[in-house]
Amino acid sequence: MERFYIDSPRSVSARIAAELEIAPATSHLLVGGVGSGKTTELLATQRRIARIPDIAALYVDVTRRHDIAKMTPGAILAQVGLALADQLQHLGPSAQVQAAHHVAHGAWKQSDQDYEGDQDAWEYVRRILVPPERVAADVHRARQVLDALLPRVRLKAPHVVVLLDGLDRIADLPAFEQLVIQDVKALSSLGVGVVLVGPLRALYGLDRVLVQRFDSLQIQPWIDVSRDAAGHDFLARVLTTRAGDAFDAPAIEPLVAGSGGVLRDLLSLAQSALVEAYMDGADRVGSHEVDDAVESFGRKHLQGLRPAELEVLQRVRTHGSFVQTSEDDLALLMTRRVLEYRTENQPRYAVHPTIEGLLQELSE
Amino acid sequence: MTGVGGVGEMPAGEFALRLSALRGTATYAAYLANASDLEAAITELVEELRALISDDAVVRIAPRGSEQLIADLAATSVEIVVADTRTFAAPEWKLADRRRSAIAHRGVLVFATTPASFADLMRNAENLASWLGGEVFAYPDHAPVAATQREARLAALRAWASQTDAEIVEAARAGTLPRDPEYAEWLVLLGHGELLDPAPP
Repeated sequence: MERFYIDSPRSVSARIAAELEIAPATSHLLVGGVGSGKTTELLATQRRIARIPDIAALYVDVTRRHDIAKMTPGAILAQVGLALADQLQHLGPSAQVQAAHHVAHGAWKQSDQDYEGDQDAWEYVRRILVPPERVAADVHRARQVLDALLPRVRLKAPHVVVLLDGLDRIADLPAFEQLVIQDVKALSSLGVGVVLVGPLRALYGLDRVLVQRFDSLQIQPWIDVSRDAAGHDFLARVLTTRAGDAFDAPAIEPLVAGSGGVLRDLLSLAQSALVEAYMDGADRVGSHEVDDAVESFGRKHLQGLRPAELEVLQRVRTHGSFVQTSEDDLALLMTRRVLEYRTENQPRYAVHPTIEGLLQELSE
Repeated sequence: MTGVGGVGEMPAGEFALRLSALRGTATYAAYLANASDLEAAITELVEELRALISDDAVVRIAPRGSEQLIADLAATSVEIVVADTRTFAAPEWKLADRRRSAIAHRGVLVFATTPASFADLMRNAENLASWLGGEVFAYPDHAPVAATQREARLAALRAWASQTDAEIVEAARAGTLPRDPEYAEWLVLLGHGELLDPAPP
């Protein structure tokens, strides 16, 4: 996959890696819309850090082993503990590695307490998911495990950075704040650097105070292809690097324009256009195939909208005005029906290019 | 041509050909059909895929909820999975979205569902929706075809008997309509099946 990675003009991974090289124990919040390439940048950060001799980087997708809706303080620490334990597995079994598994999954273990002379007393080590009143104890327990594991990891690299993916899916912002207050703080206190992918809604309204709990905020923006020549060129290069031979030159421009500067949508449109070419029996993708791909994408993108939301979209389409006042408005941003560009000082709003024509048809 | 739900209409065979072209990629797609057509849509799609690729490259699952979808996907290594998700509403899609890493599938995953369930997906599973890209199509709605066929048959019956629809209905009400099966069919096509066996006066 690395051979397909192309640096974007304002590479977030380069900025984060540079900051971590100077201060390895700092915390960084990475925020961006769905499909903006946050995970790609997180993995690119990991690769960049791997080139720095004294920092070890661990990528952890916190949703892989745990339901994001049940995240409680300690859950991140428990998963970082498991990731560290995985790193040390090749050195053979150890009490610390075992403890990491016990904290995460729960286990019966022989008690450290002497219960009235009973030498065989056993106690259950609870899994980390617990009622709120147990939070402080859980964080402490999970932190202790990390404290024991880290010296072994640091024999190879004195600094450890964890790259936490998946927390952008959390819908409960107060729960996210608790994780930041408890787990990120605990990792920082252990001298562990953190790069955390967070929810986009943390950028809006009252939730914005959350951002201040990090040393830096990195926004992975959409690329304003109509006003950002370098960004436009970057997206065109993404296509030509991955499958340049498959696209006629006139097909590249409408694909880039149709993507709205959203990397994932660019790749989806390109893939659909390739399938259209296959169905047409064509050797290469031309503008006809791109038109079909854009229309299919747009029709899907209009699904599930209520009349009031369609009205907002028509306003954005005709006047470029968008004021986010409700959860439904925010959802239009989250789902990329409305795209917010920050290339220039003032934010600029536009509807996703694939729905622009369909919205016009609806208004006639 | 647009189909149910406003997405592009595509027969099962053509959609299967598209999906077969996407083999070797991690692709997420959706196939929409009205509730009354969904069973036929899934059956046709699975049969077409099996004919194009092979029997053991395609599996059909019908999870009751997201947890079972995750478990079903974890339990299969089959390349193309057609998931009947017609029972999924907002809560199921929300959970599937949160746990989307667990439904990441090395191959093609098709959500076969109704337009209403798909609208719930689009409202509640923003990440999953972004995975779908543009691979969302609708099974052709057979209702317009049926209407055309019905009209053609009525025209044939009018020509055969040299009578109008109104004359046939009037004769049935008067109890003077011949008992030939063509007249019975005519009444049914007009939506007057209740006149076939008029209650005795």
